[in-house]
Amino acid sequence: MSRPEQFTINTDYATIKNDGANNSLSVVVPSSVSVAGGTIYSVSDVVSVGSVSSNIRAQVWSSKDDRWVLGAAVSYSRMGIASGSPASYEVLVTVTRESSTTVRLTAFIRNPYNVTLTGASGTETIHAEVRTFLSPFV
Amino acid sequence: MDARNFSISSDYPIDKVIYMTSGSVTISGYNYNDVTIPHGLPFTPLTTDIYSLTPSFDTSYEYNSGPVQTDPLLSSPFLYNTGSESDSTNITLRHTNNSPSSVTIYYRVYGFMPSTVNEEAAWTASVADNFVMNSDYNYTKLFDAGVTAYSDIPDSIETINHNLGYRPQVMAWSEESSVVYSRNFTSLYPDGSNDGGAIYIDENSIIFQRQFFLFNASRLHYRIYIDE
Repeated sequence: MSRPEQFTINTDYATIKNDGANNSLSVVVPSSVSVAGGTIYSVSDVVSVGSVSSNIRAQVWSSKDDRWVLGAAVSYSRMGIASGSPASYEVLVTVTRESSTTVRLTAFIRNPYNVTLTGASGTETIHAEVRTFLSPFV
Repeated sequence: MDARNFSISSDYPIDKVIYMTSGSVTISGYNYNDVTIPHGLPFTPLTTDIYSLTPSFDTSYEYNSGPVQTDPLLSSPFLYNTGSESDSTNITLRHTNNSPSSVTIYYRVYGFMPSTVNEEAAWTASVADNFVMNSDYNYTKLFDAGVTAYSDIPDSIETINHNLGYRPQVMAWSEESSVVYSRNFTSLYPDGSNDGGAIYIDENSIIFQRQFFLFNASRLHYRIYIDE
């Protein structure tokens, strides 16, 4: 037993290792996006990043918001057009392991209406930056 | 001298993991299973958990992450929800199976000492990998660890200035009614309103925005790293 926070480096305690890997992903939701009633639109990107068993830390950025957000799942609302009237819809962005060494970024739009939903706020680009690290168990 | 270029820098502490445990739990379709583990620590640890669908952990998911549901906007985005919370006695792992099939989830949990605590802790190196230090890897170097003030004002913002000039790695936990929750799910609205709380990272600061629906005073624990 010791007081671990009294030491800058202490080999008696497990720690977290960066495996030095990082990568960027991006998807574009076009201004022309059109989602049939009750269906889900999705667009995704997959990249290789990190070693087997590594975990990710993701930061997400949207060209409509211009701030980086910490998270593997980010949701927000946008305004579109349904039946000629303004209609809000939700965008969900996920950044998650696709396989042991790949990561997938996906943007989902679910049309909650029974008529076609079209985008009204212009093209939106969504970026994610992913760093990987190894837990103390690896 | 840029500490990011060094595996270890004596100017910045490395992470000292003071708690580790692992196990598995089988959950029937569309069900949940909470695992409660007494941690035996004289303080409430900041825990984080990872999980896998195989005991090898070749593909390893962070909490509140993993395979995405067919309709991810219906309820949870993910097929399996996991997350850890801790209090002065226990760590509780909450697992939900959003799929129709039974699943076995293999979990690994580890924890840090909060910045507000300076206690003795049992050594954990013996239950970690074979090498605590390995020069093949870069070690996360802690730039700042702290805790915000308590507030019960929804949407209130706390700004922590780091002035590093780049976006650093950040870990965060929320604490409410003496229970600490690991966090990585963000829900926000770009018009400034917010229904889930958000953590913004820029080149000079970390901005914590509390949840819109806030029932109790909360504060946030954070760890900011030199590493990008």
